[in-house]
Formats: sequence, structure tokens, C-alpha cells
Amino acid sequence: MPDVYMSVKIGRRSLLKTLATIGAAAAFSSLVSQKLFKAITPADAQTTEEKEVISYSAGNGGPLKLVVKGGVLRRVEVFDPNVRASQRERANRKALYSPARVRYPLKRVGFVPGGKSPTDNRGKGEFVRISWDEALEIVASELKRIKETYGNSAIYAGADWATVFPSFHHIYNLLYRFFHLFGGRTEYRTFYSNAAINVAWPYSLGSDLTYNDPEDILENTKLILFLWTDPAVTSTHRNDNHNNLWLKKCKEKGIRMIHVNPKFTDSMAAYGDKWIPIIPGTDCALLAAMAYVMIQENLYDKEFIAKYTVGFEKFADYILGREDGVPKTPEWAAPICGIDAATIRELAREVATTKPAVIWQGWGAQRAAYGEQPVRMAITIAAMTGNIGIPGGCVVQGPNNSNSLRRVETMVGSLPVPPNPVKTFFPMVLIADALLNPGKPFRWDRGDYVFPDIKAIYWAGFNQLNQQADLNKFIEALKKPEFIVVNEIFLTPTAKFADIVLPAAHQFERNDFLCFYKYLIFMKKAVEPLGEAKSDYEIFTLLAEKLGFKQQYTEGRTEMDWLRYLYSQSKCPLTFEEIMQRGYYVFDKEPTVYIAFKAFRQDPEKNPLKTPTGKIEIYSELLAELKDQYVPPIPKFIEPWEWKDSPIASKYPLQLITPHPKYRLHSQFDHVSWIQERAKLDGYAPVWINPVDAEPRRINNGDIVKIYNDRGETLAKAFVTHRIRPGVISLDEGAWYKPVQPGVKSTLDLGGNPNLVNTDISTSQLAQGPTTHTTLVEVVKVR
Amino acid sequence: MTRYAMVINLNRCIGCDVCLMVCKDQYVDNDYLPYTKAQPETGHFWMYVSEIERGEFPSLKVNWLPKPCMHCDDAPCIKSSNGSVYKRSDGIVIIDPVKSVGQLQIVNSCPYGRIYWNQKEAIPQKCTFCAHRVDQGLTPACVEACPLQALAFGDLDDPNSLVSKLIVEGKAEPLNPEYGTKPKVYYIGLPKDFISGRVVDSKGELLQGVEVTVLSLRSDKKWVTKTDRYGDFMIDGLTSGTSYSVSFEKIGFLPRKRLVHLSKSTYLGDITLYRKTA
Repeated sequence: MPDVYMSVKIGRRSLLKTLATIGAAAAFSSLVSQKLFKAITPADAQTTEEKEVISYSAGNGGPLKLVVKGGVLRRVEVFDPNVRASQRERANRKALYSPARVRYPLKRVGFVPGGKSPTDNRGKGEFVRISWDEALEIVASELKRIKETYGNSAIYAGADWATVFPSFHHIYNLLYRFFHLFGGRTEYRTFYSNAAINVAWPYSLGSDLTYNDPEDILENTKLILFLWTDPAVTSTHRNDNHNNLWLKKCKEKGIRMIHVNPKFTDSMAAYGDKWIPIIPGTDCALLAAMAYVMIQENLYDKEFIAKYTVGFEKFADYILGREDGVPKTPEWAAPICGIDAATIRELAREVATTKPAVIWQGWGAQRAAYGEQPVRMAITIAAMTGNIGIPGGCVVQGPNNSNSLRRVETMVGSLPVPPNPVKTFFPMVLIADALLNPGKPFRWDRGDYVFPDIKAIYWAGFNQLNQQADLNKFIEALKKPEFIVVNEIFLTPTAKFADIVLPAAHQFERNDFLCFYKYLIFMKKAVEPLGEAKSDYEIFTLLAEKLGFKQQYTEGRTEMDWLRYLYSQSKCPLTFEEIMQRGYYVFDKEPTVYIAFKAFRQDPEKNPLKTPTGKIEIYSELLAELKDQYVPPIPKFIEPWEWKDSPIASKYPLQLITPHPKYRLHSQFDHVSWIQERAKLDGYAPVWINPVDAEPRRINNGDIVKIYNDRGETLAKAFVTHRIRPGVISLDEGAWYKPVQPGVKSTLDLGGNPNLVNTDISTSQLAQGPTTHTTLVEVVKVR
Repeated sequence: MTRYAMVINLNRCIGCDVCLMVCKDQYVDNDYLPYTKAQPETGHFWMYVSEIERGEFPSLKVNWLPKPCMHCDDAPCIKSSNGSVYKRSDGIVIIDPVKSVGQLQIVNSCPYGRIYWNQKEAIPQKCTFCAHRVDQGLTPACVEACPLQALAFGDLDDPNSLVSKLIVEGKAEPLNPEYGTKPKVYYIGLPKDFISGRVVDSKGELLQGVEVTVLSLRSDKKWVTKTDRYGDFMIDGLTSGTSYSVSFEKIGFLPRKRLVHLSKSTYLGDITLYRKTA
């Protein structure tokens, strides 16, 4: 493959020059005055007040205590030693005051409202500052024009984290309420995170996606089989370090923890007993061979299978080779999975005979080709071992067991969202296809639909450009809409593709509630919004006013009125004034420990599952009706389209996995100086590579390398380690896209974003989920 | 008297970096005079966490090593400082941010590499054990923040303090004692070296319950373990530069012995035991 950066006439020398100049702060366009992006320090104190002011607050689920002096945040602390915030939250001061903060409304250079102006400049990150009034006028008039010209389905409005999910300023609710009152919006369905689980799980177990409480697992479980998950890292994504304490207790109690993962994860290092390094995308082959051993050696729970499941015989036909002539023996699976047959056999025996056990599949296996299969296969293994509906036995399919979040029976209410009058949608990972092919039919979850014709995009707190696979294709697609607007706290790679950027306030700059674990926290506004930033509620209120539905949007309530109203829906014994004054409330009452599918286990006739047969459907008649070989009625191993045995592996021999980062929450915090110092190696994203793969490529630890395939190329720094199995490299998702030529397709990314090489081909026609772990690449040393 | 010390339990450390980040949040932009001026925005790690990877694919161990200033009783930085570094009566070593201006040699004096140079202020800087917090009866910020309570801080002269107990129990040891600086930071579970492997029979079946005995040829010290159901064994706590004999015994099988000169943690791979013939 020719070097793309050569073809866009950036020679090696100037590339190296570019490499030398990129750094933490270099991500901002020269056209945007540096004044707009100045960091805040105590020297910016608004008063000479020396007294420290404490505000209780929260990060992604976790309680925080903010220390403010002279109007400037000085420290981020915690107030309960049992819930100690993650490293990201402790770096939140540098996020709040990051040079990447958007302080003023911005308009893209060259943008003229009316749908006629060229979009070539989109993504270059060239903006001019405009007034709030001008910005709101443009957004309101463009939304009105597009609605009147094309109808509401021409507007795609999507939200994501926007740093935190509190009660009132919850960005989904704020955005969706606005658009549903405005006449509707095209929406995305299923998420980058767990699309295949959300769609496939109900075909096996019905729509109740629940697991046993962590307290039960700690108390009763003997073994946890972790498939593709790193809870030590990912549990901090919502639960701070609460789950790490729990994992430590599990280890101290002697619960055996086996990790099937291409990586020797932090979870394995800190708590694990046995590492089984698997070739990515082959989980179903491993599980099928385990099922084979359990059947052959008579180790499976026949009574459970007979009483609680349907279709096991058809599954057994597949496993024993009666269906396709290929018995799924450990010897069959060994070369597929890269695990020797003896180990597979012993793993099957251990999992089948150590009871009760938890089959804990993360979101990694399903974020791959035919990702629906491991979802249903893991459930089948849980059924074969009888680990469903009993204390200590369950199947978990998530990065953490966040059931404990349910503990707050006394939740504060949330902003009501009326139904969406528009019915058009697209599966999230197909956004580029949707933009490029309006009117094209697609299938999703047994339904037939067509892509809408999207003319405007409204993103609020959603760095979708960064997180969408096949980024180069998406960049091309983003030239199509007539209008793109974002509410953003930070000038993200997505915000750079907007025509109008509206500066949003940070969570520390507004009042809210957050319920987490046993806490109800009043997130008191600690500091004033930076520059001219406004809360998203205020932004949508002002827009609704311009569009004539302010009264419906606000119901006449201010932020504080809403908080009082939503708080009144809580059963917290404190008055509104008291909680505001005290800052938080702790619910001491221990809730009853939840066992998923307990009632079903006790009496499957009286308490059937929400499946057509009321039982665990190892075989699904609904899926059989599809007659789609990639969505079989029983779970199967289906060869990925891109893996070690594909023809293209001769050109791109390394399999790339893109796990969740330890230091970021997806793309959040990537711009934060202290996070960069740790998450990156000298400003580059680290890529894990085994010495077996590094040596023939003459790659040494710390070398800058290019990761590439036909879809694109991205730079990283080699971390040569035995912690990854040979043939596989690992580059964390979420690094901010940093193109050599902003706004231009197929340019080299300096940021180490794996979506340059990932594909947007979806799991199958069923879930249409992302397949970011099904990627082959080659790696070459740059210097 | 009060003599402060810190004990870091590596068996509890998960490498989450909270201690490191909390230290930055405490000190960046924030002065705590007379103990220290603010830490620069980036580049300083008064608490640093390094990752230690041992072994080779697929037999590994990974540990994390948090490293603050060791607050040595015999501190080279004090000797090098022309009177600008001092030890408080409670044992905390402080670099005077005024007197130390321009004294770059203080940075180089520390064998542990725990002193940083603040370019803007032209001063050497390091961990103060959060003296400003200790004065208020608090523990250092990193100790308070560690989610798994891997860090303990307290008074060595108080026999009931956690640090005293941990040190008395003999589990805690200083890092690099060969530097001879009498550090006041102690570690539990400092990584040593291991020998690991997998025992199989001639057909490749995994052998469980094989007795593996490792004997140091230097000290006659002996370690014994049994292979698990996957045929795996690992004996940790060995010392590089030493030769060991590793023997494998299981009833019904011919015993085997291997000599290993350990230069780093070593995975022996598959070791085949052959059945005794009748």
C-alpha cells in the first residue's frame, strides 16, 4: 500500500516535522485565536477571597468534593472513603480548565445559512467567534428551514455522555425533549457499546437483561469465567473504584477468576488466577468445544436443560457434528482459537463442575463479526451448567456489574421526554451509510426499514465522529448534510466538523442531582461557566424561545424550579432546602440482594421468560424464520470476514483489538494534560505488540509506528510486551482524531485513533452492531 | 517522638494511578509554603507509578510500583544541599523552596530519582509526605485516595500504628536497600523472580498434582508446590543470578530434574513426564 501521506504531498521530512510539533496543545487550528483557548489557573481568581468553599458534586457516577477558592477550582476530593474516585475524576480540574474548552459560540469559516454554502471546509477546524444572538438565530432559522423544506425526519439529533449522566441536565433528555416538542427527529438505535447484546439476548432469555447483584456473587460464587472483559479498568467508567474494591474482596475470598482474553489485562494481573489468551473473534469456537466436552463427558446439567430450555437437541446436533459433519471437538477449536486442546478440555471440566459459577462476558466479543453469536452462546453455556436463576450463578454481559446502581430506590425524577413523533432511525454504526444512501433499505431486528434523507445533524455532548468506525468514510459522509450544529464543552474532533459550535457548561458549572449507589448528591454549581458557556438547558430554552415553544420546553420552570420539582419525586427524608444545604444524603438501608431469573428458576410455568416459549431459547424459532445463515437459530461459530485465515491476512497479518482505555472514558479526558502524560507515550497512543511480532518488523519499545490497512492509517508508539498474544495488537479506542490534513479524507491520523482502520460493516442484519474487533492491519516502524 | 513512615503494599496495588493523579491535583497550581511551591502543570511525578512485567508469554506477572520520596534518614539530598534541604523532627524531608533556588545538584543527588527540577522557579521539588496535611492531622493525599488501601502512613514510634505493625511483622522492606540511605518508605510484596512451567505427559495430557521442588544451589533454600489442573506451576520469590534445581515428581511417573540459572523470571514451557513402565 502506498504511503497516503506521500500521496497528499507531505513528504517524510515534513511528516517528521509535523510529528515533532504535535503535542498536548497543538490540536487547535491556527485560525482560532489562542485567546479563546487559554488555560485557567489560580491567577484568574475573580476575588481575593482566601477561604476555601466546598461543593459536593459527582463525576461519572461517583461522589466528589470540590474545593474552590476565589471562584477557581483548586482541588477535586472525595467525601466517602468507601467510594474513591478514579484517576480521571481526580484530573477533572484540568478538564474543566482545559485549553480545549469552547468559550464562545463559533461559526465555521465559509458557512452561510440557507443550505447552499459549500461544505469542503467542514472539519478543518477553522472558526470565527460570533455572538450568542447570531448563533441562536442561525441555528433556529436553519432548523426551521430544514423542517419546513424536508420535514423533521431530515434532522438527526443524537446525544451521548457529555461527561456525566445526572438527574436534570441529562443531555439525552434535554436534547430529545427539545426535538420531540419541535416535531421529532431521526434517531439512532442500538449503541456502539452493546448493540449485539441488546438485540440478541432477548432471543435467548427475553427482554430482562439482568444479572445477580455483586453482593450475591461475592457471597456465593465459586468461579467467574471472564470472557473478554477487564472490569478493573472498565468498572471505573461508571462506578469509580467501587467495583475494584469488590473484585479485591472476591479475590481475598478465593473466588477463582479465569480470564479468556487476548490481553493480559489489569484485571488478570490484579485479581486473576488463569489467563487463556484467545485469538479475537473465536470465542464461539472455544465455547462450542467446551459444550462438546460437557456433552461427551456427561458434565452438563440435563435436568436444567430439560426443564428450562428449548432446542438443546438442535444445538447438540451442531456441536456433535450431526448437523454439518464437523464435531466441535477441542482439537477442532484449538487452531481456531489458538488454545491447545488439552487446556480447552480442562477449562470445560472446570467450568462444568465448579458451582455455582458466573459466565461473565464483556462487550468485547459481541463487538465483532457476528457478535450476536457469542451473546447467545455464553447464555447456552450458562444454561448447560445450570448457572441461571440461583444464588452465585448467572450470566453477566457487561463491562461491570452495575446492578448496585439500582440500589437507590429513592431516585430523583428526570426531565420528562414526550414521545418522538418521527419514526425514522438508523442503526448507530451505519450512520455513514445512512448519510450516503438516503432511501436505501436496511434490516434491523427482523424489521425492514429505509434510511432517511438526513439534511441536518444536531449533536449534543456526543463525539460521534471520533467513535465511529471507518472514520474516513464518515468524513466523506459528513460533507452531505446542509447543516451541522453541536453543543459542546470541548472542541472535540466532532465539534470541528460543525458549522455552529455552541459552548456548553461543564457539570461543575451548573446545579443538579446525581444518584449513585447509596448516595443522593446535590451537585452544587461550584464555579461560573467559562467564557460565555451556557448550560444545555439554557441553550435549548433560548432556541425554543426563538422557535416559539419556550413555554412547552420549560413549563415555566427555571433550573432551580426543575430541581425542586424533580427532587419532590424522591423519597429522601430531607427537604429540598436541607439537601441543598447538606450536599448529599446516604441511604443506609441495605436492599435485598437480587438474583436474576430467580422466579423463573423456582417455577418456569408460573413465571415464564419473555421469550415466545417462555423458556431459555437455545434454538429460536423467530431467528429460524429469517433463514439467514449469519443469524442462525442456534448460536454458532461463524468465521469472521477478517481474521488470520482470510486471504487479506497475507497483506495485513495482525489482528487489531481496540479495548476501552484505562485513563479515558471513551474519548473523554483525552485532551487533559495530566491524562495525556499517563495515557500516552510522549504524546502518542501506545499500541501493544508482542516481541514475536515486533522483532521481525524491527520495532523496538518506544518506536513510532504506523498502523494501516486499506481503510486508513494512524500513528502510535510501540509498547512491546508479553501482555498481548502474538498475532494481535491492541490500541485503545477513544484517542482524539488528529489528522495531518484536517477535513481531508484518508489523511494520516497522528492521534492513534483505531477507527481509521476499523470497519463499519455491522455484526449482521440482526443487530447491525459495530465490529471494531474484526480488523486486520499491518504495522510499520516510522522512526 | 513521632517518626513518620509509609508502607506500600504491592499486593493491593492495581496500578490505577489515583495516587499519582491526586498528587498532581494537590500540588499543581497550589502553593503550600513554607513546604513547597506549586508543582508545574506537567512533567513532575512526586508520586510515580511504574509497571513491572515479569515472565514471558503466556506465563506472566504484572505488578505496579508506586514511588514517592523515600524520606531517607540518611538522605543524600540533605548532604548535597548546602543547608536548603532539612529533615523535620518527625522525619519528613523538606526542600526549602526559597533556599534551594538554583541548586540543580539536589536533583541529581537522589539515587531513587525522586527529585524533579522546576524550570520556571529554578528549584528542586519532590513529595513532602503532604506535610501541610500531616500538620492538620491528616494523612498524605495519596494515602487517603488509594481505592484499595495499598498505602499506609503512620508513626513508627507508635507500636500500635498500622505501619509499625506491618514493619514488625517483617513483611515490609525498603526499595534498593543497597543505596544505604535508610528510607522511610517500605514495601510489601516487592517483585522477585519466578520459575514457571507446565507439566504434561507423553500424550500432551495436562498433569495435575505434580510435586515441583525448587532448590537454591546457593542457600539450600527449598520451595515446593503442586501443578494445578492445567498442569501449571509457578514459584515466585526467587533471586536472579542464582542457580536452582527444579525437580518434578508424580507417582507413576519417572521423576525429572532441570537446572536453571535464573537471570530473570523464566517460563520453562512444557515439561514432559513419562510413565513408569511395569
